[in-house]
Amino acid sequence: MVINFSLFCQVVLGASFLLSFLVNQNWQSALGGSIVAFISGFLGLMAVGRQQMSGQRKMITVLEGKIYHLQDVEQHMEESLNLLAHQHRQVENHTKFLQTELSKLQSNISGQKNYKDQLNTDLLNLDKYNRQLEEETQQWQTRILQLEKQRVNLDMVINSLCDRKKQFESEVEVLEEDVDVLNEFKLQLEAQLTNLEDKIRELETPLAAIAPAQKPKVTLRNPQLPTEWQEFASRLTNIELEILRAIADQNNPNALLKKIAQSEITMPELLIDGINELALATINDLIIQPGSNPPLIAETEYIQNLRQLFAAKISSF
Amino acid sequence: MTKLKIPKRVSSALLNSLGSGVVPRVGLEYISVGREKEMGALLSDLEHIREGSSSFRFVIGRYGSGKSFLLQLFRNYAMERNFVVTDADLSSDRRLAGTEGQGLATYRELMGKIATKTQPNGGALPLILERWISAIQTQIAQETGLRPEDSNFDQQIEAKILLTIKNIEGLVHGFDFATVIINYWRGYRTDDTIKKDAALRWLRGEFTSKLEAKNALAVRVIIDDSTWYDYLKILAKFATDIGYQGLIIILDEAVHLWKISHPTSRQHNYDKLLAIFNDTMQGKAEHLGIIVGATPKFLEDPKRGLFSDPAWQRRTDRSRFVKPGMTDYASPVIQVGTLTQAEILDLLSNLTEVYSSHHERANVLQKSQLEDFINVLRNRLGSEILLTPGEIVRDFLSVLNIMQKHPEMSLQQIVNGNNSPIDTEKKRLRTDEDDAGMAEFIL
Repeated sequence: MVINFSLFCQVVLGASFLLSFLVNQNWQSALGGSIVAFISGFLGLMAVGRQQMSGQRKMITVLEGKIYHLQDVEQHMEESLNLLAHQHRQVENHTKFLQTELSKLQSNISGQKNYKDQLNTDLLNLDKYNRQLEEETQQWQTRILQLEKQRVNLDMVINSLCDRKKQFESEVEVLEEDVDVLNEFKLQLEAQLTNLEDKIRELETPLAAIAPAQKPKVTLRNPQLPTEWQEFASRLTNIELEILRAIADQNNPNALLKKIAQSEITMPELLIDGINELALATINDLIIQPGSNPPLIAETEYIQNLRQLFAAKISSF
Repeated sequence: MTKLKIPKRVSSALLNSLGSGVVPRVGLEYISVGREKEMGALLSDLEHIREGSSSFRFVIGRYGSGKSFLLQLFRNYAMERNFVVTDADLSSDRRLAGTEGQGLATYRELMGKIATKTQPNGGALPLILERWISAIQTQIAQETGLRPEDSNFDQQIEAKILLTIKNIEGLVHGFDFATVIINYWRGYRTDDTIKKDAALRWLRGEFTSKLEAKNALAVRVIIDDSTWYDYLKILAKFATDIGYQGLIIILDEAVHLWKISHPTSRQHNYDKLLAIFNDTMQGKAEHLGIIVGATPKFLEDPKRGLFSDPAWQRRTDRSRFVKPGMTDYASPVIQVGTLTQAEILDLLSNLTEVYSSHHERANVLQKSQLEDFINVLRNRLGSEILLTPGEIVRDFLSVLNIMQKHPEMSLQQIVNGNNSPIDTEKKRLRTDEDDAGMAEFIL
């Protein structure tokens, strides 16, 4: 009960003063009576108020207990709510996972089904191929039998040919002996021929003496360079020709070799070696004597050929 | 074979050597017969050497069996196939090791006889050296664009020589070796033949003291008994670097090692041979072929032969699976077998062709006459043991020479003797086979 204290004071004081004044017609006793009324009213209000307050306090404590209880309950509820939410999430994840698994398995299954179909078709193809191969094997076997027969025939033919070959060989031996005999006869005839030629010459000299010598002298034509030397000449470079000329003329070949070696960035032995390699390949012999210092032509007869070679090279320019 | 034009020089050398019972150095390919298996094994070795590996072979044959002929023929084949070859006959002065420089003497002989296709008689060391230097020149010209006329060309060359030599593995004293080559180069550039010759002498192991070498070339070492084999391996490497297929070393008359009377000295030589064998067979040498020719007692003598050394026995013993008549060409030992009658006939026939072509006459002998000739030789006493291809060839050439000098005599007449009383008696004894009971003697 909310009390408006100023209103209470006013009313109690006023009412008591009036009443007392009415009764007593004495303003001092009226005032005193109003003050006593005021104080007793105040004390009564205080007692009531205290009683109310204790009652309210009790209610407060009860209500506070209930509040704590409800707060506990609220906490439990919150916890269980969280738990449930968590479990819900878990279950959701699990469901998702299971769904993906499911879709994978389904695709796997469809893959396996395709593979199985493929294998079935392969199996059918292999069956066909196997049958084909069996047919082919049979064909090849018949062919092998045919060839075996042919081989046997050919063996017989070879045997007969061997016999004939032996016959021929013996004939050849006989003929060789004949050839030997004929060779001897040929030698004899050649001897006879030389005899006859001698006789002819003997007879010719008197004839030549009779007819005055008006026969023109047969001049030997310069024999042409043999083919292997021509090949050698054609494959020589100008530098190699120069070197050979210097060596053939013994015209200070070492100095020339060094000069050429420096200008061609090589060494003198290699120049000689190159020429000799070419000579081996064409005229089947070395042209510069290895190890000679100063370098010399290997054979004196080669110098003749070289002179011809140089002349031919000059005329070809 | 008959229509080949044989250079006169070659046929002359060939006939002269054969006539005096000596193995010829040139022209062997015109008269070689048989021995396909032996030559095949050696030629297949060439293929392996070409590819980079090494080989070691013993060629064993009786005196006069044609083993040296086979070796010389192989030498010529190897040269034709672009190998560098060298050979030496061992002797009492030339061994593999010795306190008096006998090992170095062999090295000197080998270095003097280095031969190539274009220098078949030996002395090809300058060629190989110059070819190597030329390769350096080409490199410098390509890398720097310098030419020999330029002022710092020589400097570049010398630096490159030093660098290249330094990079050679297994070369001790590389700096000195490079200095020797640089000396050769300088001698060439300045026309100083003394310096060039000194460099060649050093490489051939001809310096006997370090002082001599120092004065001539300013180097502190010389090639000696302990290092000469290493320099042969360097030569093999040089040869391959400049474009040859490899180096072949032929050591003949190895029986002279067997003849060494002092056991320790002999053992040193066998050990050196073993070291060389191991080196080649274990792949430590590259592009190198070594062939040792000897008579059977060099290997098989139980007291002094290589077989007396267990290390060698293991390596050269005949496989127990090889029966007589078979040959094992994987083993390092090649046995030179005897020539068959047909092969000897071919040999004489080839000889006649060479002889006729050399003397520019027609060949007048037939196969039957050659057969008769061989039979006469075989009928001589002791011919089963003593008759060798070398002897047959020598006798045949003497007969050909007689025929040339006395064209009126036939082969039959020359071969069947001058009808002296002893010869007729011998003939009578031979044909008198009915009285085979008693032996008869003529004094």
